[in-house]
Amino acid sequence: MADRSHIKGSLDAGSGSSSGKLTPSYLDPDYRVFGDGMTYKSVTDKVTDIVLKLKTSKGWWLGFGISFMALQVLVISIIYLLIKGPGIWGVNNPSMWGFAIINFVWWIGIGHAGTLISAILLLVQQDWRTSINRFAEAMTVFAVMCAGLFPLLHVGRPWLAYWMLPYPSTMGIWPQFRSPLLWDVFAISTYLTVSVLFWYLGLVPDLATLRDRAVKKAKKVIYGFLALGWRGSAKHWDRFTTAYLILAGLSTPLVLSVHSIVSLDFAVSNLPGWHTTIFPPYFVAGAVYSGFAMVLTVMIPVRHVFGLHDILTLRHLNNMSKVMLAMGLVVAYGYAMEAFFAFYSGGQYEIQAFQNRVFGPYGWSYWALILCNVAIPQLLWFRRFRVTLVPLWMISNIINIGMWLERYVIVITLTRDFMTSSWGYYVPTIWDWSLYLGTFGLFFTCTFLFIRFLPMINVFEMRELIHHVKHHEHHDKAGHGTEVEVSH
Amino acid sequence: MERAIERHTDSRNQPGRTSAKGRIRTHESEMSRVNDKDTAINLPVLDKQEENSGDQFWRSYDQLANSPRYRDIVDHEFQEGADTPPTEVDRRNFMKVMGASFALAGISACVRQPEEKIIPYVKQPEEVVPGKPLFYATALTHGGFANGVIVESHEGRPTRVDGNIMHPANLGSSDVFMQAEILQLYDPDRSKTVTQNAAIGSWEAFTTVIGDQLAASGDGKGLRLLTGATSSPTLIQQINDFLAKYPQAQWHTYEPTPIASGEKIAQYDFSKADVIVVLDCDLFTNLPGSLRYARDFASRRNPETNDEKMNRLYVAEAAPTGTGSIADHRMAVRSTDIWKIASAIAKGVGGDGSASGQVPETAANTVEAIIDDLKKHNGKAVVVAGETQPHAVHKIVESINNAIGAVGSTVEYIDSPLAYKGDPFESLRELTVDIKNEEVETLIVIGCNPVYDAPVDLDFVEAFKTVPNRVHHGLYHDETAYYSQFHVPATHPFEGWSDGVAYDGTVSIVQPLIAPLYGPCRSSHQMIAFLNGNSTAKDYDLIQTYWSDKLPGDFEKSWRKALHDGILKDFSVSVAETALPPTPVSGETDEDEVSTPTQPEETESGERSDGLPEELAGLEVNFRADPCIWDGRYSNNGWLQECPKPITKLVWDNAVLMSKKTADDNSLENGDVVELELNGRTVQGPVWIMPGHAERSVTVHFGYGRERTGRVGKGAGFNAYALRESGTPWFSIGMKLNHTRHHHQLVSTQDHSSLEGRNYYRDVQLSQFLNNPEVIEEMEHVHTDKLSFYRSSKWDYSKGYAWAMTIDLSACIGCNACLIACQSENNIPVVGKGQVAVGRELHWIRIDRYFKGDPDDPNPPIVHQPVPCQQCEQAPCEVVCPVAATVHSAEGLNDMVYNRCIGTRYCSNNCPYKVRRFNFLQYADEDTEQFRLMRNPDVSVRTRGVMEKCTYCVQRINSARIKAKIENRSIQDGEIITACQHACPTQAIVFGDQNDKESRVSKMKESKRNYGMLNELNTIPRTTYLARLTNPQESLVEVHDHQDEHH
Repeated sequence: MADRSHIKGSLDAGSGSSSGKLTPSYLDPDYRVFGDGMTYKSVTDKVTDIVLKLKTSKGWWLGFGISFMALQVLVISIIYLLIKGPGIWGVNNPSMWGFAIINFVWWIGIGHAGTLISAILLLVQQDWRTSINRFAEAMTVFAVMCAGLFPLLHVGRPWLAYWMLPYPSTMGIWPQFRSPLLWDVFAISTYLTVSVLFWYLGLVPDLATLRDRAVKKAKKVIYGFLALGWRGSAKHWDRFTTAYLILAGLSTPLVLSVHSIVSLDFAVSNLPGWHTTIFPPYFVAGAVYSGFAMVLTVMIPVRHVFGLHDILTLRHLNNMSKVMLAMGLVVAYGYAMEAFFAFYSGGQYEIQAFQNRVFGPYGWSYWALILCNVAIPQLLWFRRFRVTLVPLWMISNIINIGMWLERYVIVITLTRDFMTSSWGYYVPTIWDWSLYLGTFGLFFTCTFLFIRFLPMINVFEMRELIHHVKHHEHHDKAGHGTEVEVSH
Repeated sequence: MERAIERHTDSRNQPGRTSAKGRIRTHESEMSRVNDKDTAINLPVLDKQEENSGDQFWRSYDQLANSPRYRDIVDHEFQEGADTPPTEVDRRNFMKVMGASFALAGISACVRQPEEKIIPYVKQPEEVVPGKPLFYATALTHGGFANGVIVESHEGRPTRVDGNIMHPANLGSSDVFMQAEILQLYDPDRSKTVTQNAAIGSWEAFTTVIGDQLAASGDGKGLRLLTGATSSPTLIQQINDFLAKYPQAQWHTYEPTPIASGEKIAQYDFSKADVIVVLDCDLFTNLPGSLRYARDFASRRNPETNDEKMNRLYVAEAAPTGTGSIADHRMAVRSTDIWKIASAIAKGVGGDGSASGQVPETAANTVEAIIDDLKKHNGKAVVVAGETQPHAVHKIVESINNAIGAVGSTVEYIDSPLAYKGDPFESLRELTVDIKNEEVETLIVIGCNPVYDAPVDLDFVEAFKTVPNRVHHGLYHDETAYYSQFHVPATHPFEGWSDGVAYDGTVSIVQPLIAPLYGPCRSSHQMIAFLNGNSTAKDYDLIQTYWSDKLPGDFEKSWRKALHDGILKDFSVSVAETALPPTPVSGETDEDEVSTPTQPEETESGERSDGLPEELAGLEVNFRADPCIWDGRYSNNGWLQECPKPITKLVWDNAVLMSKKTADDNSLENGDVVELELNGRTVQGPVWIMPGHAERSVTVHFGYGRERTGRVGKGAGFNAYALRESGTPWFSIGMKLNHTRHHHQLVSTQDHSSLEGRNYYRDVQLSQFLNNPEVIEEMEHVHTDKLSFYRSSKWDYSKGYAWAMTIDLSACIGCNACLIACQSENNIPVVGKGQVAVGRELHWIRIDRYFKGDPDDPNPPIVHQPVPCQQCEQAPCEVVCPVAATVHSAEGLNDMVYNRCIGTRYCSNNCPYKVRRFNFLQYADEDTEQFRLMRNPDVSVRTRGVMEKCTYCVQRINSARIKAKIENRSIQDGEIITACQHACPTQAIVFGDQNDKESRVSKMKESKRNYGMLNELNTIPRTTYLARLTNPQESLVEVHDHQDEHH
């Protein structure tokens, strides 16, 4: 088991900023990582009942139904695309890339929250992550699935996309290793593999819990199969913890590498407005930014619908908002640097590319981006916006839109590059939108199935957390006295 | 001759090919019948077993009785030979039996391949090596004047047209029309059958019915023939025979957009001209001999080869043309004001300046300069007036040319080789009048479409409908065909024999490249021969008979030489003798040219407009042939429809061109549909704002708004003929613009026309260049040291060939010949207006057109820059392709491997020149049979999802390489000519090996004008440009300096 002695310190640090009173943070109602009266049993019941006992709600059916319909839009869009070719989209000669790349980068970014929460926060032992990591990891997997679709469909002849893989082909030819698109292939496939493994490994103890609690035979068999014979022995736990930490270690560089490499798709090219060294760090920050925003966007309603207030507390929301705010500032710095370097370069094309971005035919999108990603998120400086659900949910949505616009602004830089004679416009078509909508269908269909059939909160880690908090409580009772009751 | 005939008969056998196919098919079906039954062998053995096996069961009484009939059935259940054991195998039986197995083996292959029949030559034609093209010289006519062409033929299929280097009218170059003729030939919408009263008819029915009419007409009373402009000596002879046979019959000609008319036509020699003044004429596209003129003109534009001298071109015109864009001084003046400029010049140089008028203010300085220049360059200057200007202006110009000593030096007035020498619209006018007077019984229209393109005031359509017998002969079932009882499909010039005369009197024999694709097609020679009583004449005989007594020396030899060369060399018959004038339709026409209705009206209206306020005078409207689809005859030609117009860059549409000010005054914007009202007639068309257009003037182009055309031309544009009157065919005054609330989407291939201060188009004045030859180099923004990450591993290109190209911007007139040549050579599909609208045109070479200087300048300089792939040595496209589908060849070519391309399109993003083209959809039409015949077999047809781009015509490089290797030598300079280079009328494009220091391209690259586009990106492009030099008159330079400051 990981050493949990840090928890006090971290909670204390959290409390300092909120009130003058020197209360241990976990005692402050706003800063508890779980609610009153949570016990090992109650937390297990709460989470597993959603999967095993509760009747499938009408709300679930509605949500799933809508998502599933959107998924059909995806299927239709893909079939039509394969029949006709990428000409059904708005891509054209100066703008050879369009929605497919914008959405690809956007979805990849969304996925970043999961890895960050699971891996990095695990390594730096931020225990408040416990109740959100499962959900965020699942989102990562689904988002990467959505993202992965786009480059595949983007290419002119998708049935030959496997040529990008370095396999011993009878053609006797390797992929071209200097191309950032090839780096993408490696980065994303690795990312997807590690994310799936990490997510699944973390699920194993909980799947075993489900197996044990399941009443129906079929569920017992399926969960039992998925639980890989987990019996909860000390040896199991020991190996599990080691493996989990190794995977967390493996995932950590991925958080940084994946979006850096995606950013190189742009930065490596020689296009004014793309060819800039600030891209890798600012893409990573942007990815985390949008990832957290998406987690909030999805979790706030889920928390409400399934009554998970005790598990997803205001502290979670507060902390996530703070991460978003920090990342938003990094992104804003990126924008500022882009502008600065455009002029500092003294290059005519760079300067004009920036001017076009800001004041050109697509200038509206730049200003909308600044509004969404820089201006509005500044509200998160105020605690009220961090812990009030509706505004926070709206801000997170705005950030999602802003981050999409960021990729849009970058990609449509293509419409105006070196040769003025080739300047053009990019107008997405209905099929661009339908494919984008369709990936929401895929994402939310997967999400709804996940909510229904898998424990969306990490049960064993929650139990563990309760244990630790209880342990601290005993220590603290002597000095401070407390209203918190942790029942057994 | 033998060869030609043989080839001809061979290709005539093509319909025979289909029957051969048919035969094969029948044979096959026999085989498959055999297969169905052929299931087992050795039946007698089985039969015996049956007999000996236990209880006997019987199937029939026959079997029970083992009757001979039964035995016979059992023994011969299978076809003879199929069930005989192969003991005595003779060759014949073996083939019979195994044939079925062979066929089965074929059927068993699991992938269904497209059915392809290979038919060997029964008799191998002379000189044909499968896979090797043959080239034949022939000629194409434009406005009646011949240009020499060389047609590439692959196994009997003509696939490509290029100019004939030996022909004086074009010296090997070509224009868009010549290039696009190949598509015209294979156009699947061509007329394929004789029609009689809108039903499918036959040639026999036609000859019977019309033959009766001819017989009934006796001496030809009521018999009329209407043809387009022609210079064909044989045709003229045939028609004269016809007129002799039917003395009462009459011949009319009508050409909607003639390029020359009158008794005499001017023949210029621009190689001798230091100063050229052009009054309303697109010198390089709209004259007989335009291609030659372009060549001669450009030869004087390079000071580095001409003792630091350049010619100087002044142009006065309303709508900008290619000629105006290359001019040193362009005056944007209304066509109605041209005569004033002409008179002022005449007055200044001592010509006939009796007519007078106020020269437009904007042109006053320039006119002074012109007078000054003309005086200084006596004998070395020339003034050109366009066909669009009235006769009076031509007279004035003639007097100027006389005064400045041009006649005999830079211009000669020679007899027109055209059959008809009167006012070009008079003949049709006469015909219409006669029809209205019910004097016409039978009208035979050959090779023209007057129902569509006749001047509207003649009311030809209504008149035509009243003619009792109407016959149309043409390539398409067009408007005139629609209103005719009989329509006979015409052969394409590549399908029959003919002849033609060029601008300077050079005669060419037109020889066929292929048998008529569609059986019922007849040539115009055959049509006339039928009228002369021979309905089965062959054009070969007709042409040869005509020339049999005219060729010098041994006929066979001269004939063969004429066919080989494409021109009749040493041909002594003068133009005047060959071109027999028709019986004048009216006695006055010829002498009375001066008083044709065109002239006085123009002068009057011009003068009147001076005195009156602008509003009352109304707008001027100019009618011009379209630079791409001409008078409408190419309206179904996809290449030409999608060819961006040289100045507007519009495709698939014509538009009402007007200046920004005129548009603002009428609060109009691009695409606003306006109603043009002239003398009570109206037509609606979309507005396109054309910088450099004269004020208070609009220009419309013909050729659009076709009602009866093929699938391509259908629904494109509006019909400008609906306003045109025969008295004022080229421009008219008093037009009103009425707003409509409609908007029409006009599609241009270039949305942005300003350079934004970028330096990849460079031009300077000659004097600046001479003062400081480094001036072009100094325009470089950043001087890089060719730094590169990949430098260390850079390939050494200094050995072997290093292909390179230069494009001389001083010479480019923006004519698009290179673009269509490239399209034809490289099987580039047409994508359609909708796809061009979203920026998906596929042209491998594009011609960028920029307006320079102040955006508010009413007459900004217009420049052209052809951009093919730059073939960078450090190609940015290559490093970003994840599958190595675009790679570099050892000779420096940036190769595109279509098979390997998966279509990530990253290469195009990373291409700073944006020369890569992507197949967003399946653009190549792989199903239409005719297009398969048309394609160049040396170039792959690309499917959807694949990137493509200019290859420097790598197929030509490779074929030259093979040839050189066989001959054990290296490729010589000039051996490889790229398609664009071959077509270019001004030889602006030069291609070759830059490692060969003696090659033309190396010499060009040594020029101080040479520069690479976007050098600072370190792409090291192999295509470089020679900066444009202009040669403005000293007294006008200040004005230009002023303009340059803005830029």
